[in-house]
Amino acid sequence: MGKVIMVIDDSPTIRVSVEIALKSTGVEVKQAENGQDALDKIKEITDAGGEIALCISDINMPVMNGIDFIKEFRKVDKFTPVVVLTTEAEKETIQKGKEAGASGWIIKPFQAEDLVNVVKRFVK
Amino acid sequence: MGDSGIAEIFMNESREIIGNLESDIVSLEERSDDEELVNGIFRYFHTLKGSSGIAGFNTIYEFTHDLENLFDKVRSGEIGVCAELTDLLLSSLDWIKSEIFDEEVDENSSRIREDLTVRLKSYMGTSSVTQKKGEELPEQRVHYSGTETEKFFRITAKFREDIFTFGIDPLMILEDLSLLGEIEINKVNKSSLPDLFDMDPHNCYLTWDIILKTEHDFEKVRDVFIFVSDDNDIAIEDVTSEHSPEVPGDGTYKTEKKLGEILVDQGVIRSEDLEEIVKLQENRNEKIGDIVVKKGLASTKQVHDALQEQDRIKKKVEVSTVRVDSGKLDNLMNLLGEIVIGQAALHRIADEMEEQRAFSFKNALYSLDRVTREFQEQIMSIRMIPIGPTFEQFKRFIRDTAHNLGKDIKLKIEGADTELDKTVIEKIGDPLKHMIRNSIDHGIEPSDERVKKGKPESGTLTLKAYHQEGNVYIDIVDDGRGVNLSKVREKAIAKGLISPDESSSREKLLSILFNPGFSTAEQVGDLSGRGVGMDVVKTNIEELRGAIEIKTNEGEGTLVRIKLPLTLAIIEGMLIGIGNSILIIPLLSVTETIQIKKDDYKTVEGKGELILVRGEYVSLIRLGELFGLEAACEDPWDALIVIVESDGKRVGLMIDELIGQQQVVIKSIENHITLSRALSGATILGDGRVALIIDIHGLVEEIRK
Repeated sequence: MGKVIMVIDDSPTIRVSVEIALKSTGVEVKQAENGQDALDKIKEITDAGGEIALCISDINMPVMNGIDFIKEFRKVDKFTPVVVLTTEAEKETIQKGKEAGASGWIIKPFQAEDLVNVVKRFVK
Repeated sequence: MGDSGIAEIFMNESREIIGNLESDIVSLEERSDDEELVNGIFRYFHTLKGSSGIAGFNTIYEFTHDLENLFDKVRSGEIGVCAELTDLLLSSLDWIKSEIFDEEVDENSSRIREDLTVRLKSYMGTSSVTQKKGEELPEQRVHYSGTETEKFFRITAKFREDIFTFGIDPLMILEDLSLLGEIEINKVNKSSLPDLFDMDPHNCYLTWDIILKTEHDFEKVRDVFIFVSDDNDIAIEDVTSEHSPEVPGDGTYKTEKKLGEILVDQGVIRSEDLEEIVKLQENRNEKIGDIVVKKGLASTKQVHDALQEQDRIKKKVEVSTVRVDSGKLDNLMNLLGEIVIGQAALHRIADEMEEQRAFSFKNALYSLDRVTREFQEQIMSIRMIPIGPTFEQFKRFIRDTAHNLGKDIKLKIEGADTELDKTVIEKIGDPLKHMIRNSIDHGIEPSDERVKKGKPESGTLTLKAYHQEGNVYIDIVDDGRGVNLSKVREKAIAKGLISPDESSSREKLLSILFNPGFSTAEQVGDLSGRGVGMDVVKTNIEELRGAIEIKTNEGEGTLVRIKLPLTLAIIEGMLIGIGNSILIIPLLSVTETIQIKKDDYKTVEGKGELILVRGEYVSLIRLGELFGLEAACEDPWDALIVIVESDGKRVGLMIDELIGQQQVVIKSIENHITLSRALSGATILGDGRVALIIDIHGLVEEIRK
């Protein structure tokens, strides 16, 4: 298993959109519905010898929200970038994400091109 | 993202969300204080908004945006839950449902939406309406839209050392910045880099200093740093006013702002006034500041402030240069040298080509030559630095030295902005110092002696630099006592450097000054006069392919003239052949190439072989013999003679053939190879052969011995 981008959002529309948008980059995309789901899947992937290249995470999610996810994730992985998915209206969550250890943000709704650009910046 | 697959996923998702919302909103009437329920509803609206935006349902996106805002107020307790609110929310859901799932477009749809929006907004209170009806989707990050005017921001960024542990790479941020505009300067401060052994590769130790030229406003620039701004030391300053918007074509900024312009900028005077003042200035040759004050347009304080501002701008702009490790420049020059060699190889190939193809090939090659030459000039100009600072360094030295000797000496500097190759400047310091010391010590008289001679009480030492005929000259001039030639002669005879009955010219006597171990000072002074140095000075300067000469008028003063090449790395060379070997003579030294008749050739005892060139006999040097090469021509009248000149002396060099003329890159020869003084280095020719470069100056010296 090679590099994986983890997309974490409770909305399947967003998850699938991200996956479709990132097809062109050739990096494998895995989906998770919330923070806890993501942590479980990330563990599975890394246990199998895979590498997480980037996490793209929504903030407002049931079970485990994005902020808690980032905090938990940072306990096991300090360097992998986490990009926060947010909306123009909730820019204050950027600040919270940042404090938790996020590395960047993308504003929803996004264009496929924008997303690819962001990913390219974080994933070499 | 109007993908039909996405639309389908969105429809499934929203069906589920709307179903949940309907039941939750109904429950809300009874459990309005259930925080989890409220948060859940908010999140559903939030998700619906995000998904609809992605799936391309823009009307729903805008509408749910309002719903989300409204419910945010419910969540924060600003708006209480009542039947009216739940009615409104449920009607809103109905509209969303019909918008997504109804196959036939309801002609009343937009009217219903407008009604709902009005109700939503009136519920929220107009002040909190964040998005106007019909507004486009919010502007997206990464896609930057600009404003009309250019701005300059100075950004100093010192990131926290553990920034990488946040998954943030400062380079990424710099890349983001470059998306906003042009990064004019990017100075990296490495001062906090620890020693290699103390360095943690996971830490960031660098600080950046950047000037960003952008069309975006402060907020946009600040947004780039949003992920790092708090806990890192980031300073963003709008410095637009310090950068003139008029950018000249060559991309450099005006380094200075005129005083008048600053006064206008500061609103002290009007631009009409300025025009008038400038006209006045042309006639009167007065300073702008003085005129402004005289005319009562500004107070002296205001002018003073403006002058300070001018200084500040100048200083800031002065920073806008890039400091480059000089080693990099040397590398660049070396690489260019390799290009020149490669080109020479191409020229050779072109010479062997059949004519038709050779023509177009050569044409292409010539334009390449032109570019390379320009390239070389550019690199050379980067390497050129003004001699001013070197001269300035001597101010203190001269003052102290003169003081120690009880002399009063004024220093005059001319041509401080004359530029020289960096390497030359580095190496010229010591020789200059020595000559200056000589002037102060031996040349300029103590004040009482000067007054007796009717000279000004204080002596003058002039350092002057100028360009002439592809060379740089540095003159060290003093108005001291000059060189006493008869004393030099006496001493030279005493030291056995010349024979007593030999009549020696001024020139000869002055050149003896550069002889090792020669000194005329009566008293061995502290500073000089120990006879060590003049010969070293000469050697140093010759190593720079330069020359030194002394001119003197007894009682009036002395002039020491140092002649230096503009660059050390590349010379125009004449390729000559002797037998199978190729040698290079610096073209600057060549005066002509001739063939002689048998009658013009003579041998004179003690002087060796002579040839008659334009009515004058000059020594003939058989280059082949000198370098131990087997020459094809044995008799001078069969061979070619290259007349070269060094220090005003002409000699004829006997060669077999002239091969051509080209730029050659001087490659230094390893130190452990003892080179004949007649050679200055080597170069690689187009065909890969190594050719030695003749040092004409050294060669002539060698012959004299």
